[in-house]
Amino acid sequence: MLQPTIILQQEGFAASAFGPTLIAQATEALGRLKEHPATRRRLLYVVIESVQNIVRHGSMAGRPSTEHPFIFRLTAEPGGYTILSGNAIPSVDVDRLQRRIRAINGLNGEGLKDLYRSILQRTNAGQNGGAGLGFVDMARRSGKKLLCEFQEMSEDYCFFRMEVTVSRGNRPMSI
Amino acid sequence: MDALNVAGTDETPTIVLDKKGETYQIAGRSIPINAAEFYGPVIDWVRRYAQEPNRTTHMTFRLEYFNTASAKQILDLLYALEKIPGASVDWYFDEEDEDMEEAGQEFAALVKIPFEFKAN
Repeated sequence: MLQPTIILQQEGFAASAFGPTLIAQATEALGRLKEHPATRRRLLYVVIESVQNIVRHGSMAGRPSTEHPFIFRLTAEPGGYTILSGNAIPSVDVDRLQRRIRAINGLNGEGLKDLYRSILQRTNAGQNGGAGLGFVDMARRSGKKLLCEFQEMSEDYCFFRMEVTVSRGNRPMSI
Repeated sequence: MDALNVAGTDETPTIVLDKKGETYQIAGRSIPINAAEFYGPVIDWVRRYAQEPNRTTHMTFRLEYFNTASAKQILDLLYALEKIPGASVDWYFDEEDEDMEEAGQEFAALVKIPFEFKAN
């Protein structure tokens, strides 16, 4: 049985400095994979959303960005690929995020499609994300549940880790 | 009305909006983290153009991929286009890219603009 292989990994602080580079490195790495183009594309979408979520939402008020921890890891496994991402979030956001992810994980393909459409339509112009559209998109492309973990860092912050898996092969989105 | 020409980058698409040349095109990768900042001037141009449009307005989308932040902006752009009589969309996708084809179909279902789907 093949062992998991880390294709790309970056962890540290100040994710905003790494975002574009990580996406460029992932694009290059995915281009070298001997995979169906549909798998490569889905992986790239999930990588982009994961990295941009880290950059956009990983924040700790009152601390310089150079102290904001993050992790990103893309791993090849026997059945497919896993994208792990993590960043600090305010503890007050944990419940809302857990509810949102639980709701997403409770939906099938058609449900995710409807939710995606609903969020897309209702968000006002000028917003750049948030409202969970990225999570819904990742769930659709993955076809599997989003796995999450919240680790307390302090009274005010938690470290939020998410794992998204993408199976090999060509199949319709969100099935 | 001045044309809007924006060169593509690793993160943003090429934009050509040219009333005189009757060319309206968005092509390439669209993954800016601040999509609202990028698409703001594009949507503004379309809204100004809508005040005195050409008889027909045929907009072409040739996107390789786009992030969810861009999805919102693309929908807002289509809402602006929807107000223009004679507007239509050509949505291009790679022949093997069912997801991009489906993305176009999802946008088409949300706006009242005729879409034509074309495989590269």
